[in-house]
Parts: sequence; C-alpha cells; structure tokens
Amino acid sequence: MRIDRNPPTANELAYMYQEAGWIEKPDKEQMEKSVITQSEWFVARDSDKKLLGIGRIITDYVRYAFIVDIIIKEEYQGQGLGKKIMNDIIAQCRLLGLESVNLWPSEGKVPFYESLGFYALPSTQPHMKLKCSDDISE
Amino acid sequence: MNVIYTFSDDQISQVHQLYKTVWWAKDRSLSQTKLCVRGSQVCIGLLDDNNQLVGFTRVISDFIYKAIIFDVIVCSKQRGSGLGKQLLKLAKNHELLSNVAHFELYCLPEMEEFYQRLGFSTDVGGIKLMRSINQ
Repeated sequence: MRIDRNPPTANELAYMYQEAGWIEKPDKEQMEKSVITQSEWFVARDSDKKLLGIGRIITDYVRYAFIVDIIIKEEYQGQGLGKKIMNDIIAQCRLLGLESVNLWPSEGKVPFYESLGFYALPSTQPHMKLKCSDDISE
Repeated sequence: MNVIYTFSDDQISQVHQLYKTVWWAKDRSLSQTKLCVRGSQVCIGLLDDNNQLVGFTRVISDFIYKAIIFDVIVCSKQRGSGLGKQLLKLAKNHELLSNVAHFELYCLPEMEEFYQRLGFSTDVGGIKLMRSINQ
C-alpha cells in the first residue's frame, strides 16, 4: 500500500462518495470538477493500483488546512488506513508550517479524531454556517 | 467603493496594515500576509475613492463543497458603515463561489450576532469543527 498525491479519477471519487453514503447519485460533471479543483489529495492504493481510501485537504498554504474528505473503502476499514492517511495529511501540514488542521467529523468519528490529537473548538469561538440556498440577509 | 480580487505588492502592504488594526492578526508579518493573499483561493478588497484599502476578506475553498471565510476586516474609520456586509455578499456571490454548498466561518463570540443577522447560524447540524494545532 502506498499513499500518493494524485487525485482519484472522477469515477473512483463518485464510488467513494456513494460508499460513504455522502452522495446517493453523484453528478458526473461535479465529480470531474472535484478531482481537478484546487485541493491536496492523499490517495491510498494497493500494489495493483486499486483504490483503498482517499483523503483531501483545502488550504491557504500558510495558516490553515481543512480536511474535506476522508473515506476508506469498507473492506479496508479497521486496518489503520484512515490513521495512515491522517498522519500523512498532518505531516504535510507541518511541512507547510501551517498553524492548524481542521475538520468536520462525521457522526461517530469524534473519538477517532480525538485519538489523533484533534479537539472540538470551545463555544467562545462560534462555528457558523450559511446554507447555500440563503442569500446574505438584508 | 472599488472592489479588487487581485492584489499588488502595495495593496498587500495595505492588507498588512489592516491586520495590524485587529488584535487577532496584529502579529502577522508582511511576508506571511503576502503568502496568505497568494495562497488563499479568493481574496476580496474594498478600495475607497483614494484607492486606499478599507476592507478585506479571504476565502479557502474547493469551489464545490466548502468555502471558509477568514479575516473579515474593515478599517477602523469605516466600521459600522456596512462594508463588512458588503464583503460577505461579494464572497457569497463570487463567480467561483456562488455554487459552493457550504459557507462557513468561525468568529469571536462578540461577532456572532453580526453574522447571525447576515444569515449565518451556529446550528450547524450537530457537526462540530475540530482542530489540531501543529506543534
């Protein structure tokens, strides 16, 4: 197994999102856009180049990184692969000299990320969100 | 008010001056500021009639799922005149960002009400941002 820095194909990404239950029917065009958009990919493949798991961050390359995708194929879960990808991501962020790595944990994944040193932001730093459908209020 | 999306070296120095006006960014160096402007996927500046930078914000985004808004700063003289709101609207309506699924930011508690008035919510569906500080 090795983790390389090239994006997966659009089909591979669609498969992973479906597998993770994030997107029921991935839009082909959006998947094609996703794999070429400005992101840093961490893609685990076996010696036959078969995809095992993906990780992706978006970053300003100086202060912050945000992990937007961590997905491990079901049959490869529980073998420490997620941790390996996370460790590569964290190492890359340290190499860039970033201040912090941030993520939005999926349900049930908080203990996993806590074991890697992540902590939830305190309520003194409200995390806020704007829904796509909402325009900025008048 | 003129809007800029690309920054000259002189305008980056003005961003650095704006950083110095807020306690949470005042220690950033000019070279860090330059990397910040060059590394962020979208930067937005507001210039007054004398071409002086009076407002700034930047966004980290993949242009599809997430857009995270940072460093919303309005120069001290112009605060309270709606420039912060204008910056957020420009970000939300930016051609590369207008179809992004989630706009997010994290802010100081005292700014929560300001962002709530603009449609942001702390009710983020139970998903809490987690962070790891690099040593």
